[in-house]
Amino acid sequence: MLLRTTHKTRLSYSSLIGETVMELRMAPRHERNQHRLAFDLAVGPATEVRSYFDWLGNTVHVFSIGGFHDAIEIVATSVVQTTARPGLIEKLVDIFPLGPLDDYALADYLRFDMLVCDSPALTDFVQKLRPRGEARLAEVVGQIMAAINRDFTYQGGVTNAASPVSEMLGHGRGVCQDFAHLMIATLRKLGVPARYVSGYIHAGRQSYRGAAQSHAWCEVYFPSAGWLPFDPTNNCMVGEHFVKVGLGRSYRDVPPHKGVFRGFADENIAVEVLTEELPEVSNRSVGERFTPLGIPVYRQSARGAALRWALDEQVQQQQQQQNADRPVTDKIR
Amino acid sequence: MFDSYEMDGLFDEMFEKPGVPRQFYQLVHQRLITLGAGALAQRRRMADLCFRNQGITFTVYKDTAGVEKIFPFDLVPRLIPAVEWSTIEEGLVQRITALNMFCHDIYHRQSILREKIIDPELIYGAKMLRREMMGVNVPRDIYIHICGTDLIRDAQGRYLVLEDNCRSPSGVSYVLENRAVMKRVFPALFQNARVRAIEDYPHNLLCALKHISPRPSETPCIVVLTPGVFNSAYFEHSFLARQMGVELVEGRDLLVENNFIYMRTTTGLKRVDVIYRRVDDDFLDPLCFRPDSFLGIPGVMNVYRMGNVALANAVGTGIADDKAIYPFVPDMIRFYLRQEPILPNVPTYICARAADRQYVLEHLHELVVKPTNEAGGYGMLMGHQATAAERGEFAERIKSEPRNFIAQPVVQLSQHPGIVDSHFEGRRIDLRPYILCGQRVTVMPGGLTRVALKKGSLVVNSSQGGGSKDTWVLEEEDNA
Repeated sequence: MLLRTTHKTRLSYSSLIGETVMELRMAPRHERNQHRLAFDLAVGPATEVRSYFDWLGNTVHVFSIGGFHDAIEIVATSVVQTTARPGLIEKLVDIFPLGPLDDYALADYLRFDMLVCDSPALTDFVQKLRPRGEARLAEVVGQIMAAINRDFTYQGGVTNAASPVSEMLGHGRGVCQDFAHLMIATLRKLGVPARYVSGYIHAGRQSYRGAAQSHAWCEVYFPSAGWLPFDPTNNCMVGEHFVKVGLGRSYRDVPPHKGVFRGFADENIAVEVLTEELPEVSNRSVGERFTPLGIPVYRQSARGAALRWALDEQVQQQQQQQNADRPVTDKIR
Repeated sequence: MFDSYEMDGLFDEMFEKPGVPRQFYQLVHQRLITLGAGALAQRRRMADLCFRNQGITFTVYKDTAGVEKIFPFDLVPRLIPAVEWSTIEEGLVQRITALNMFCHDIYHRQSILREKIIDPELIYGAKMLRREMMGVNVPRDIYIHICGTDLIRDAQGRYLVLEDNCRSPSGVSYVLENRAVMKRVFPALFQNARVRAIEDYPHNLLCALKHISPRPSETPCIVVLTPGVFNSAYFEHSFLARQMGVELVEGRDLLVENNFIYMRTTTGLKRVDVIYRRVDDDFLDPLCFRPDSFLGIPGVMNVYRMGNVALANAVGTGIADDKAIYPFVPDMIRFYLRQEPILPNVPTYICARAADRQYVLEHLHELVVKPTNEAGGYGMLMGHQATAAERGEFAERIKSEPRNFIAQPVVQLSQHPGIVDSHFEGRRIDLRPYILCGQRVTVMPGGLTRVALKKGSLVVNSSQGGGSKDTWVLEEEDNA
């Protein structure tokens, strides 16, 4: 499937800010079942964008904006070719519980952190799902995914990007990030390595939860086959209409954007994600490019009086984090 | 004045046996006796005045009596003969070389884990492992540019390594100041005793920092990054900046623009090449590490990763001074250098290992238990002095977080005479030499000799009420 994704982010501020530094994790991964044919990144105010691979192999774009500004716009457009892996799950021979793991680095995907955290509620939840004796791992994973999908209500605005999995276990509601975190936590509790994936889902004519916004799901480690993706929000194996962007231990490793700026300002985030299936991709559009967007920067004299913070030393704010399928204007502070 | 001096069956630095000073101490011993109590007391007042006038202080956290303190100083110098020193020096060079190779290995190929020399669980479970550094190349592959290694001597006088401080070891400013004061108070003694000079340390430090500049052809802009005036080592930060002739800055003085670091100056922004940072990893970059930090520079990690700024020490060296990794340093030396370690470790039990933990829990009354990631002697249990309740509390903590603790047998540190009122008494000491890794490895001759000020106490940390004395490494000829 040939998929084009356009991910627009607009951050606007109630007053001028300065010295923004930002990191973006918006470029789809280039992997066995997903080829990145094109990636265009447009950022305004105009600045130099550089990129590197982080320790998880995600492409990170970084930039800074020195002048005073009250808006930042980011448009990431990608074209990926995805391939499905039908019938794989039925062939898996792995048995639960898993024996000793061959790769010590998998320990990172068995550990709890601030979001994928252990709690008495998790113990209870896992207790109900724990198979007695041996079972096929693929079946166990399928049952966990189905149970999460069945027992929890998909609802926006209840949790936020910083919500630990214990919150959803408490009130039973959340969005794809919470669903993914819960599935990861459950599997880790059972000694099965699991990790977090951020990306997009293309609904086409079907109705998927999490379409037209950032989506999230998880990958489970099968010793015989490696990492395989599952989407607890939609109770399905991840197929060719998914675009994989970031890979991490939890959401904390892969926020689409993350930034720090100086200034006193309220922040408003507007996010739009559009996915479409392309019949073909022209040679001209293949590749990677950066484009500046015409968002203004101001010199201090433009609004002098409003800039008293420039003299204040302790004015440094974190940008809010947009999380997967969150209502686009939710406010944390 | 030495009449009532007790050896207590310990290893004494000055005396071979009661009343008989070691040969290389004879000059100092003679001089102390000749001076007599009155003159010594007077010189002591001179020294105290020097320290107070120069504002040589340190800060003790959680002390209600007052934050900034004068670092207690003992006038009697500690002497190390040239032969002894050359072994120490060799051992330290060997050690920092292996530790640097270890850091590079952990953040790249991890052959020491693949070869099963170290249990990967210990590395991956370490708080100080910086995954963000995986695959990042640091300038000239040096991670630990400045190292302070704590040495102690056991009852036989053997030098043992107690710990390596690979993050931002402090104390070197006191070594330099102690020496300056001693020179003023005992000018004649210095001339006769042939003491090796240490005054080139700031110069060597500057060279080590220049060595990693991303713009080697130009005169690099180097800064010392301090967390600020409330930090316990602020005096040292300002001292070293002044001695090196570089700017002392706080995080808010620096900023990232277009993938370079700039310093705000009265004449506009100036590009910074090397940051000698005395801010912990956690607080260094709110974008990468703790988001609530105001002490760092947002985005500095990205600039660092691109090679546009150098940091000393590198990010992630905490993995090398984790106390649960420390027991493996001799193995690292064998693995990376194919040499036998010159300086031995203190035997250590790793509570993360079931068998070790069992032993520790059964022998708490005779062990020293230390948290794996604290410095400055905070959070320790001295098993033989603790109450049963304290031991019980520690046992629970060890059981619930075994990875966070190690235990060691009590080592009876060597003692050294110090002035108490108008006579001499033995006090326990250790030694922290400072090692610089630049174009080559240089070890400052001597280092910080820390003194436990209470009789019988084994805790020498300045934060726990320890003092210091000048350390004299003697030149070769004296021992020929």
